[in-house]
Amino acid sequence: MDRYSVFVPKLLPETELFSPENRSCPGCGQAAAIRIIGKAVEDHRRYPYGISNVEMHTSAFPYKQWELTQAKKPGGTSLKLDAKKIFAMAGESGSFDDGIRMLTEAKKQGKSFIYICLFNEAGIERHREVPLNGYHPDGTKSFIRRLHDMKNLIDRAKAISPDFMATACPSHPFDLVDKVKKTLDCRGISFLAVFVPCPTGCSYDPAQSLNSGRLAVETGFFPLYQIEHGSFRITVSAQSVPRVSEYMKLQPSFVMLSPDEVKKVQDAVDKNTTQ
Amino acid sequence: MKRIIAKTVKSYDIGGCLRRETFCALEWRAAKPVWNTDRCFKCGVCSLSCPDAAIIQVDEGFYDANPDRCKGCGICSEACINEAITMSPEKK
Ligand code: SF4
Ligand code: SF4
Ligand code: SF4
Repeated sequence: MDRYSVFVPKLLPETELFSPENRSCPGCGQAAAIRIIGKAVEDHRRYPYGISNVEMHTSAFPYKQWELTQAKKPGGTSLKLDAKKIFAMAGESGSFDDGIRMLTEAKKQGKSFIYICLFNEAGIERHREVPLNGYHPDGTKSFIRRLHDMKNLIDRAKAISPDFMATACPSHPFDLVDKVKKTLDCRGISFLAVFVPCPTGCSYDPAQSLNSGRLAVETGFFPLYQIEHGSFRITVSAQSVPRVSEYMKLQPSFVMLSPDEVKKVQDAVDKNTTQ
Repeated sequence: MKRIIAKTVKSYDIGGCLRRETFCALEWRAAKPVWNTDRCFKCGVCSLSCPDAAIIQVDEGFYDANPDRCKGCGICSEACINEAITMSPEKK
């Protein structure tokens, strides 16, 4: 077995900032993402964290699943912060607007702010905020809508030109750790879009959760890239599995699509990746 | 026995009357992962991919799941490159 040289325990810290006894579903991609982000943050005292809907997603009310220092106490009294950097982690729905507003405000005041946005695979279909150019005319095909909405949201973050922005997925953990470390090192504002597979929302086998994320990346549905001070770089080569149908096959809501419709989706994905 | 265990996470102490309840996934999970130590070469990819940080290192560097925390999702058995993990249904 000499050809395998990756030994995970030596590469990542043992600390867990996110409790193993969280209340998420079995196979939750979001829990996997948060756990890996926690490993990358490592020392929670340096990075105060704002309470968000992610906290509710994983805890039964009075209990806390976090080892992160909170920027604000539940009672409303602000803690005295000596840290220069605040990071927020939130879902892609209602809190997205707040996150973008905070980023803009931080940029105006010259503060350092990190916004990690978790794009839920199923939730993205039902989110409420208005995309840049409204809904795609082909709105009945929820898959294409999902693709366009996600791109629109990322474009909105791109429009305020953060100093560092990237997309990541827990199915590529080392890439995710690398990007979180970069956001922590970055001096200005930074935005990280993390695609999280959700087996309950899309009703597939929880065991396929990280595979689903991998297929989303490899088919080009959610390409992984980073923009560091204006220079664009693809970090995981997309389209190594050329057919998006491989990814759609996992999800029971799309098995009824006809070959024509699948082709339409493939065209949309191709157009998205070439842009 | 060397163990990689998460640090204890404190709960909010609201009015001093709420206690942290014990979390036991063993009661409701559908399957459990079983390690085949002949095939495992101790890479640790399974422990990284588990969303619930249930996989701990046991004797001789092999891995095993903490029965209270493992929710039986099966991600670890999919993630293992050497197919050392099989999911066995829990008897009820
Ligand atoms: S619904 Fe989806 S995102 Fe929410 S806990 Fe379940 S698997 Fe995770
Ligand atoms: S991923 Fe497979 S080979 Fe690697 S430590 Fe886990 S069980 Fe062993
Ligand atoms: S079955 Fe799921 S929860 Fe249990 S050890 Fe494997 S990855 Fe972790």
